[in-house]
Amino acid sequence: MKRLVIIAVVLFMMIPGGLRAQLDPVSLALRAYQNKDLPKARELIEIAVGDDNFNGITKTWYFRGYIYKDLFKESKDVKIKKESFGYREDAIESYMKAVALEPQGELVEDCFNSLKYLSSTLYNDAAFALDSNNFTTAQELFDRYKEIIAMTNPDMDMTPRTIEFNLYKASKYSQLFDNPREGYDKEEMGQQVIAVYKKVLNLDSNNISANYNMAIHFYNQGVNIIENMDYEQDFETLFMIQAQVMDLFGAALPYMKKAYKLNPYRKETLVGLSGIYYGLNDIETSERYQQELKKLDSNQ
Amino acid sequence: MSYGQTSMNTMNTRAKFKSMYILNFTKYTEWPAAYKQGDFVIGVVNDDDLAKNLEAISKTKKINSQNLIVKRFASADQVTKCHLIYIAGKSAGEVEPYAEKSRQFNCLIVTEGNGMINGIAAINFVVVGAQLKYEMNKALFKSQDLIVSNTLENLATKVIN
Repeated sequence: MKRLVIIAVVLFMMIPGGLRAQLDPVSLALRAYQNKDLPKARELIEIAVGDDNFNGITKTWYFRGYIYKDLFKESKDVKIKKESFGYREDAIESYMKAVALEPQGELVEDCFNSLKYLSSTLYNDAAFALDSNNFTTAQELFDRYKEIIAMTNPDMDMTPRTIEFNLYKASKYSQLFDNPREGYDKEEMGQQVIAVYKKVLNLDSNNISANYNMAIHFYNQGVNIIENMDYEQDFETLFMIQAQVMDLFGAALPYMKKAYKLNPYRKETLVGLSGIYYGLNDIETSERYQQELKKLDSNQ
Repeated sequence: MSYGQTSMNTMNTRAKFKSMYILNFTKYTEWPAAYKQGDFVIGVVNDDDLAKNLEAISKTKKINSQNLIVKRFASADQVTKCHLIYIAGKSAGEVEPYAEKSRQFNCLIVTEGNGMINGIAAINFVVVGAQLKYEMNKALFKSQDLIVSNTLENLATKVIN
């Protein structure tokens, strides 16, 4: 804010006296902003961007960015996220326009700093959206976050963040698959779990969480089928269900083996491998991993 | 963002399948008239998870209109009259004492292990292509005065006459 006031004063002084005398909408917007009258500042800056005399000037968009950024900050704690998100988007567009008008200008660094702040709020809001299972909004916010980072910090490797976001997304899908809720189709949730973990593994095939959780997802599906089996089932149904369950355990195995290869001393993975092999009726191998687990426990 | 880890379901998957097989074995086996009254007793040796499954079933299901009772035997001496006994054990030496005692009754002996079908058990669980299946010894059904249906025979992976 302090930096903005200094820049604003300098820019204000640069405006020709005659023009200043006419109290142009940008200057008036700035004055309203300094007086903390954000609604008035917004009204005036919108007049400016609608006026061909001002909408090609960098500072018009720069000030607009600040006004909307503050409107966003003021409104982000209220429940009406749509309004808050709209202010943020207006701020982002304004800063981007300011940079586009003068890519080498003195305001670029300040615009980028504001954009970085706004991008961090996008990332946090993407996480909040996932908290409430709002997957579409979460993805939109995360994609926007990535767009801004690509502009402000083009050298940054986005892979770790993308993996983190998708692991969280997959865990939310997984929760809805395990504990179905109204409005969410269980089958679709299950497909999404697999699709999102595959996305992570395409980015990093050595990601231990994705490998482990993918394995558990398949394994638990098999176990859930067994748990829900009626004891009255005849042989034909029993054979059919058993084949289906073995397919799921078989699908879990390569992911759990990969997780083991990545870290052979992880207890959960040893328990997982032992359980999968047991489910696949390979008792000898299951017991071998149990022994490894016991050895690990005794060494700790 | 905290994404945590999916919890693994720790259910004993084999015990559930085995208990379902065992219930199906009882559907396709006929016991002598004296065994068609009173409780239907299933004995379990060395497999707590299977016993728990069967005990859960016994609360709601009947077998051939008889109440299901599950008995766990910790030694061969404890073995009493059963309709069916499942004996878990890695070797014939471990299983045989229980089987021998069970033969005093018209008891269907079920096991899981290599070679058990040759003279010890009438039904033996085997693994075929990762699936739990069973093989049977018809002579041992006959020696216990048990009548086995063709369905059970047809679905067995191996039948010893």
